[in-house]
Order: sequence, then structure tokens, then C-alpha cells
Amino acid sequence: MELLEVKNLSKHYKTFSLQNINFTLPKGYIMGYVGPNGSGKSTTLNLITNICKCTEGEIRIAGISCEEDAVTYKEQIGYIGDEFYFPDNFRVKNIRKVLQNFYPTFSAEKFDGFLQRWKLPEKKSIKDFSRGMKVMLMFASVLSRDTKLLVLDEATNGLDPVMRTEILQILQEYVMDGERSVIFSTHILSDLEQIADYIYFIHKGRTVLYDAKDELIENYLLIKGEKSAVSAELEKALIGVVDNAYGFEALLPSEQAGLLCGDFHYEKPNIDQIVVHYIKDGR
Amino acid sequence: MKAIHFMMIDYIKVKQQIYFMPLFVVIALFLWGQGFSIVVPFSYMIFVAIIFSTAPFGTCRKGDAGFLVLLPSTVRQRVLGRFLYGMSFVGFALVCSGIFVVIYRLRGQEIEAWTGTVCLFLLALCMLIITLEFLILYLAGEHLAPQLLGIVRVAPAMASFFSMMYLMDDMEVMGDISMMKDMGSGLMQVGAVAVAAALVLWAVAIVICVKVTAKRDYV
Repeated sequence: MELLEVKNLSKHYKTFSLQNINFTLPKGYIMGYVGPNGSGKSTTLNLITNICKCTEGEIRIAGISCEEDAVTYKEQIGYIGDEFYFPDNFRVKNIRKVLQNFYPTFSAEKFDGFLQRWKLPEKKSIKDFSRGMKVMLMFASVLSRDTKLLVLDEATNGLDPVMRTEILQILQEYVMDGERSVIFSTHILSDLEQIADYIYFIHKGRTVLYDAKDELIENYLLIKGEKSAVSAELEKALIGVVDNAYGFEALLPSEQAGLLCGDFHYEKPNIDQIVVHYIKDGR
Repeated sequence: MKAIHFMMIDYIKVKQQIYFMPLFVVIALFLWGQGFSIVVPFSYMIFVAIIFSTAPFGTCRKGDAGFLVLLPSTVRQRVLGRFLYGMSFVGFALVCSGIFVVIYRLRGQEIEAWTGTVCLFLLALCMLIITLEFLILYLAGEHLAPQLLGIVRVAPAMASFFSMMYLMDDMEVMGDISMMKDMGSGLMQVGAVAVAAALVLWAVAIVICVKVTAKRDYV
């Protein structure tokens, strides 16, 4: 059962266009949404949360579009951005009150439990919170109600490794019941390596790769060797050739592994390497 | 109900400014104590209402969208909440003026009927100014509003207050007040129609602002 359906999604700005994005995210899975700066990651996530309006296309969460039922659509989303989104002069008690007023499924006990677990001071003004505390407060506000989809836009930026690890653990627990999903954009691809089930790679507003993470890793080989040993046919098949002191490094689709004749070193790439070579390739 | 909750959010956002409200009431009382008619403290409270009604626009940040825009509600509820916040200060001005009148009566003093007529026109003017300010700020966009706010917020409020002070002075010198007294209830009815018209314009402005906001991106 698909939780998130994105069909033919486009958004046109004067200097940038997000073009024809299509994907689905089943219940119980985590999708990593990756790409370089300015590739359209935040635009896509803003369209999913309806902070921005799409030029074309359709987005559904559990079968409901925002146009059909804005209230239910928004109730299902838990959003955490890279920027702290609570108004500066709010206090924790104000956040609790607003959440209580707007979300029927909000649990003040759960919220207070998270505050205690993460040692978030209730009396301190939230503008004086550290970056880590602000992120955890956003998580507390989202996890203390019944959401179906977590949308994280570079939420782990600037956090120390301990906190990042804790967040990754939270995300894994979140999808564990098989009813909820996470879409997660980040530049820290090692995080995705650990938790993502699907990878959607976007560059210059267009889809580059979209597959299950394990498939993606299986589908490519990272080739290293002397450039002089590369045949013309192999050169055509290589993706994102990078010259270095020892020769070259590039990606090769696994199905074309037969083209490798000669002294090459090859290994399974990680997500980081796949993304970097695709960006270098520029195709 | 959600519109009321949005109104409360606006109150929290500008609570530091709201703390100064009692000070303005004291100033209004002081003005009245100087021997002016009820019209002067009322026009002062109207001035305060205009200034305070647009305050939440000064707190709009693109970054807040992730919280406020994602609250499960419709655009209509969000915009209506802001408009209710604005008009609540008109209500506050009316309540304060009502209390002033009661105090005046308790002291055994009479309030002339013509002052009620002037207050009605002032009320209509205040609602009209707030409505126009909201229209301008919503048409500019919520996150452009903070830059525009200084101009939009203070100029009409100051203009209305000082014009009223000048007019009151002028009317007393020229004897226009006695003319108003003669016109009596006829002018009062016109004032009531002006207030009703301002309310209709307020409702129309809400519809326009909802339509504009619904089509707009927040970031």
C-alpha cells in the first residue's frame, strides 16, 4: 500500500524548474531524497507539505490530496526543516497549547515525556535553545501526535554524531509498525546508507535515479584503474570519470561488467559515490 | 474555532507589545482628564487599535511556515484569525470607551449625544483603515509585510488621531458642534450605516485576502 504518491510534479520559478517528479513511497519505508544544493530537494518537500503550490502534478498522502481535504492532509504530516520554525517568543507551554488546540491526536503526556527524555528545559525561552535542542523540540512536537508521514528537510544538519544517531534510531522506530513512512533529504549520505530503503536522486530539478537502495548499490560498480586500459566501448559506459593520481575512478552499470577486460579494481559503491559520480557526469 | 486559535497565536507572537496596552489606556484617561470630550480619548484608543491590529504582520518569517502553515486548517481559518485579531482591538477600544462613559456618569456628569455620533464615524473610519491596511499587507505577501509594516501601520493611525484633534478644535471654534446637535438622530443613523458599511468591507477584504493567500507560496 502506497502512503505517498507523487505524480508528474512540476514547479516553475524564473530561474529554476522542478520537472516531472514521479515516485511512490510505500507504508513502512524510508526514502532518502538526495541531490546537490539547488537541485530541488527542498522545493519538492515544500510541495509535499503544501507550503508551496505546484505548477502541475498531484500529491496524495494515504490517498488524500491537499485540495480535497487540507485539514486531514496536514494532520498526517510531521515536518521538520533545517530551520527552526517555532516563533521566537514562543515558550514550550505555548507550543504545547497550540498543538493541543489544532491536533486532535496530540498527547501532552507524550510531549512531556520527550521533553524529559531529551532534557529540554520548559521554562527557558526557546530562542535560547541550542541547535540540537531546537531540533529535538521539533521532533517532540511531531512525534507526540499521530502522523503518517515524516518529512525531514536536512533536519540533521549541524547536529553532533550522537544526536544524529539518536534521530536515525527514532526514524527507524517510527516506521517499525509498517503504517508510517519517512521522506528524508540530507547531505549526510552515510545517514541514508544506514536507514533508507529507497533513494531518490535529483539534480537540476530532474530525476537522475530512483530505486531501492540495495538495488541501486547492486546495479553499479565502482571502477578504478589506469586510463590507458579503458577501451572505447567501456569509456562510453562509464559514468562520472574522475581522474586522480592513480589513474581514474568511475561508476559502471553492473550489467556492463562484461566490458571490463584488463587490470581494473572494482567494488560495490556506496550511495555517496554513486551521487558524486552522477553529478560529475552531468548527463 | 480554529480561527480563534489562530487569533490566540497572534496574541502570543506580539505579547511583548500587548503588555504596553494599560499604558495607552492611562494616556487616554489622562487626555480625558484635560477637559476634552469623550471623543478625544476614544479617538486615541482608535489610534492605538490601528497601531496594534497590524502588529502580527511584523513577526511573519518565512521559517515559521513549517509550523504555522502546516497546522491542520484551511487558509480561510488562518486569514480570518488574523482579521479577528485586528478587530479585537476595535472591540478593546469600544470596551475602554464604555468604561470611561460609565466612570463619567458615576461622577454625575452628562455626556452629550453628538459625541456618540462622532464616535460612530470614528469607529467606521478605524475599521476601514484596519481593513485597508490588512488588504495592503496581504496583497504584498505575509513575508514582505514586515518591511512594509512601518509605513502602513503608523501613518494612517497618526493621521486619523491628529485630524480628529484638529477637527474637534476647529468645530468648537466655528460652532459646528451646535449644527451637529441640531441634526441629532439623523446624523447618528448615517454613522450607524457607516459602521455597517465598514463591516461589509471588512468581510469582503477577508474573502479577497483568502483568495490571494491560497494561491501564494509561503517560501
